[in-house]
Amino acid sequence: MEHDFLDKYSSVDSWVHRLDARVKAIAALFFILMVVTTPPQHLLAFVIYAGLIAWTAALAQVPLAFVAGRALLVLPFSALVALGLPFLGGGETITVLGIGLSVKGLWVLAGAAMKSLLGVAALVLLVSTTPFSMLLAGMRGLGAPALFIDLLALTYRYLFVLFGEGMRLRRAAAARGYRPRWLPQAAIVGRLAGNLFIRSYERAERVYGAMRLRGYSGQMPTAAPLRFRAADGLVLAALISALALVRVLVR
Amino acid sequence: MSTPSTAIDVSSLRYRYHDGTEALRGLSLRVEHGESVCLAGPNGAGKSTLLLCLAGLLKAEGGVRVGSGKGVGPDLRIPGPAAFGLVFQDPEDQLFCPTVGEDVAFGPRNEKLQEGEVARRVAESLSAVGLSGFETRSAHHLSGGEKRRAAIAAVLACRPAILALDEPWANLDARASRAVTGILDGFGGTLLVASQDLYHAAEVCERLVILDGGTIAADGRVKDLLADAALLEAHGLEFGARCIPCPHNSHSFAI
Repeated sequence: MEHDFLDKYSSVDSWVHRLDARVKAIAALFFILMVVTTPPQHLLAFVIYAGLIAWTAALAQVPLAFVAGRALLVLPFSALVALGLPFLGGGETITVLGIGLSVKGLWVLAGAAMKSLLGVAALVLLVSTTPFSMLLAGMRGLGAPALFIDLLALTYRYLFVLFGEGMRLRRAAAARGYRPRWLPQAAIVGRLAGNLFIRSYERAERVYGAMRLRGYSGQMPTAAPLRFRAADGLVLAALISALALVRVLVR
Repeated sequence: MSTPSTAIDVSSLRYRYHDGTEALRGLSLRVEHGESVCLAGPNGAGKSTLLLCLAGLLKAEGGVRVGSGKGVGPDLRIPGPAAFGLVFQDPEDQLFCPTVGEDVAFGPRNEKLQEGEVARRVAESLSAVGLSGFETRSAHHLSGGEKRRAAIAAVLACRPAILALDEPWANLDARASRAVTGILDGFGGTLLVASQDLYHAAEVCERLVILDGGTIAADGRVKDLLADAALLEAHGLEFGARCIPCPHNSHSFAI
């Protein structure tokens, strides 16, 4: 897994990329709010939401297949929750291959699938059109707790350093003939995990030392605040009103 | 006697790790402002421990005075970014921000400088290490040599009076090593380099302090000590011509 996995397209230069990070964050959240509150029966509204995602992706030069692929990753988890509903829900039923299915349950299942796909797609677009540091600055600008932002920043920086370290440990074990097949052999995995934990702990100590030597005293310094331009306001107003109209009028 | 021109004054320094290993055993050292000193010695000699004690990250017994002797932070042991800058051996530990630009700006921003001045420091430091234009790059995507140079830039941005580096040439190819040598050559303040790479250290340092077993084994001018092959050999170091038998023909060549 590469570092690119998180934000492969975030450094592309497009009109969408240049928008204020706060505008994009609010737009994405508002989009998700509208999507999750739309009844699943309003199929046309979902088609328009999907079209909006596709249009934004095209404007931002992010391949739609990339957005869809990432969004699909979440589907098994979100749909799993609603998977039982067609079999359990009461009311009107239809018979498919000799099994009676609740119509209401089927709608809920379809709704959960569509909503999770669209919601995650919006977040993937947000992350793909905003460099991570700008995203954090935007969240900070919107009042997210500083500690949470610092945690995200350090996670972003060290997630793949740790991942690489874990892979090297695994390779070192494999190079000395470790081929886990039976359950008792899993004990080694526990030891590797412990090793990784200690290494991470020591690294955290060194990172903290490096921070203190450069004047850190409990609070990450922040860059200049983002500038909100007229174009940003215009885009945000247009998006929010369009989404609200779709949500209210389209059935 | 320590005078105002003394940059570092260490006397009878002792440090013991939690496992009982004695890393420093009564070490005394004085460095004047403007000196360039190489701390050499075998693995486990106490070089890194000494640097961490000077940085105030480890609490040792004995006297440590760095710069004016005033410390910052709750425990007042850390000399402050403008007094003492330390470049760690692993740049991964030192580049902790999402982008290189933010990392280099970290120190100046902590000093509460104006954003204009911060930007000037960032540009100046990145240019000093030959990484101009790397501001928005993620540290994760840099090569080993670029990471090392970015870590040095992050420390230089605090304009430290004393620049200390732990094994700055470790794991670098020849070209990246030369780049690091060039950066250290251009540094105007007091330089303290912990390294066992005497070939590179001799290019930037005038004084050589050999550590072994937690104390100072030798202290003198680089060119005098490097001529003493027996001394170097005794402390796990080497310098000078060696003959390597070449496996492919009968010739030998010297390096």
